[in-house]
Amino acid sequence: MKTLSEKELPVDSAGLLRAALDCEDGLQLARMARRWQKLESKEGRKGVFRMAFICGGSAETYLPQLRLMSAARGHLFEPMIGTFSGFSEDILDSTSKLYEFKPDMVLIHPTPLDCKSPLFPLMDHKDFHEHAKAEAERFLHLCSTLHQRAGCEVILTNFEFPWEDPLVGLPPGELTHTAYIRKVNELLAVRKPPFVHLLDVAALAYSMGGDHWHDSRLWYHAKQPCSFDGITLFAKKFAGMVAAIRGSGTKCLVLDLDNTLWGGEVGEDGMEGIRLGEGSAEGEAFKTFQTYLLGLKKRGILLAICSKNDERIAQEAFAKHPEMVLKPSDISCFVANWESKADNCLHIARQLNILPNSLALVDDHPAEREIVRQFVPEVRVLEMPEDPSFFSKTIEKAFLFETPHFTPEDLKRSEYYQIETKRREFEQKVTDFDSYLSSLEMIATVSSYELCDVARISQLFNKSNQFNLCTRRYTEEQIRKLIGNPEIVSVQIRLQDRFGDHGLISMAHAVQIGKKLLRLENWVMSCRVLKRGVEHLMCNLIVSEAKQRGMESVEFDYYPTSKNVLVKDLYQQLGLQKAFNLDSGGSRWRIDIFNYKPFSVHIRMDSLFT
Amino acid sequence: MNTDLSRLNQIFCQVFDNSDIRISETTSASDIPEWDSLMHIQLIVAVEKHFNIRFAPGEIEKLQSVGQFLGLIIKKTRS
Repeated sequence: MKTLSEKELPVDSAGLLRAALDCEDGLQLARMARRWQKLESKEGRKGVFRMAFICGGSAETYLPQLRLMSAARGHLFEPMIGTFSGFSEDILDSTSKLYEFKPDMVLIHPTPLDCKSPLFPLMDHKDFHEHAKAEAERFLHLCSTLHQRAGCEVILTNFEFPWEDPLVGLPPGELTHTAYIRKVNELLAVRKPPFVHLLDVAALAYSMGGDHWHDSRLWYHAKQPCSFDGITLFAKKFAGMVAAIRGSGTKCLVLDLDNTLWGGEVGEDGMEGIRLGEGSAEGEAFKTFQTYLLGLKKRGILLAICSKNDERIAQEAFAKHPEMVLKPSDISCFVANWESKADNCLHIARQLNILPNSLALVDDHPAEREIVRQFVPEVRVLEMPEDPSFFSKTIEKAFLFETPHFTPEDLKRSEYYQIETKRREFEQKVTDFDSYLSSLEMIATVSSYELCDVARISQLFNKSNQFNLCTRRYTEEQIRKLIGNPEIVSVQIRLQDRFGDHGLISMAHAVQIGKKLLRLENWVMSCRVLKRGVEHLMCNLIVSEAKQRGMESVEFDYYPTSKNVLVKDLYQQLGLQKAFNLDSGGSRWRIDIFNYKPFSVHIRMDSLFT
Repeated sequence: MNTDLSRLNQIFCQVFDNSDIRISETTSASDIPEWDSLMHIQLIVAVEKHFNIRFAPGEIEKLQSVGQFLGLIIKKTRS
């Protein structure tokens, strides 16, 4: 376990945030959190959202670490600690300080002591199941009440196994305290609504080992729910979940080749000399790592290669080595050259049309890691151990891929990017842009928001940062409410072209104000389909719907952020007129719907919008 | 004994994140304003790690001064 020396311990805010991400020493993390907090009063930091904590233990013992880790992932919050163990008190009382605080998100962290289990072994299996279900429902009901009243997302922890269980020794399947907790955890996972995000404490405790996670004395003395090292792992998981719920998360893993995907250097040792596969222990470890990476790709994480090597040699080994688990078709962007890795990372981000802060670098070489850290600090650079057997665990413990909602688009993401690569190669051969667009043979399937697409709609609103006009985020619940609302006009566009199906790639909705005015609430689009006419098509559709409803004017708002500079001039390009400026740098634009001439686009409509 | 005191001093500096701290046998929680019950458990765990010993819950509560820490450290490391 890595512990920093006195000299290595950062004294500046930025250094502390970076060090926190890689920290494995619980006492050091506590110390860094306090040091960072002291700097806060000097630096006048302000959280960007409000987070409340209702805990069965003493939140003060770990809140500083959670706050530091969340800030390190880019999400600084203003905290509020609720009543000690006051799950019912704070949530059911609508006048409680919790609601006064108006939290955007709440962590509900009960301990196993809060999980009421009946007297064993006086129950039969039916009672056992009924009790477990009632207990799971008790917590989920509290979460629902909270969400209804405060509109916030909820992170709920499940329960680690009891430290002492006098019924241990009875056959598995018998009614032990441990079996009960397992059942409650299972029911929480299965029965939870979409706005409840389950933080799997049981898995954390298992991965660290119960002996390492648990320390009763800390509970007796200060009601600290686990050891300092346990808090560190908890903080990382927590911060990963917060980041994902708020729309950021790693989209692409950038992988080195030599001593990262295989043992040895292909340039020096040749394809026959590198260690990969059954021939050696080292080779087996790398093969297992590749299998893990393939699993990540299949669930929607993009893989890119970034190697300091001759391109031909690297590609040949990658494609032809018999023990390779990863194939060229698994890689969304393959870069092998002698340029700086920092520049290459930026190139990869541009190629994939994602921001650099969606990348994470996996590289065995400390000097290469340092160069990227220094020159492209937005890229997450993982601190890799020497032993490849621990590579996958290192990636896991960074909690980069928390996924609050899984959609069918996730499974196909790698394919989508491959289709895009093919399209770009095609584009490079064509000189006349209009003919090019027409030759793409694009077909759009258009409708208002559909109930079966709610997960994907929420996902795109939450993950899009660049083509996002108002940066308003929506939970699945909120999208469902929009669908049922007659005052709302919504448009979703599904796009295919001759290279494949892109799925749902753009959506927008507007609210009717009074009898004559329609105002845009938000509009997002996947950057994969930029500048093909989808923007113009969406504009046509909104105006068309406005006319059908007898509206006289349509207003489009734009709120600038550090990430959506891309769409700064969009409205101007679409021919809208700027009406006036809004607070926080935004602007309101109007369109003359009576004199509006629909844009002609090289996109055929599959089903007409009614 | 002096080495134990200087090692303990270093631990105090690290836990309280303050390199100016100088402890003596009589130093107690009233002498260091940040020494509350939350910092106390960090002190306990740091001392345990450094000296490779373990304190029982009953002992943790009684460790009110540096002198008491040193007493238990000696008892647990020498026996």
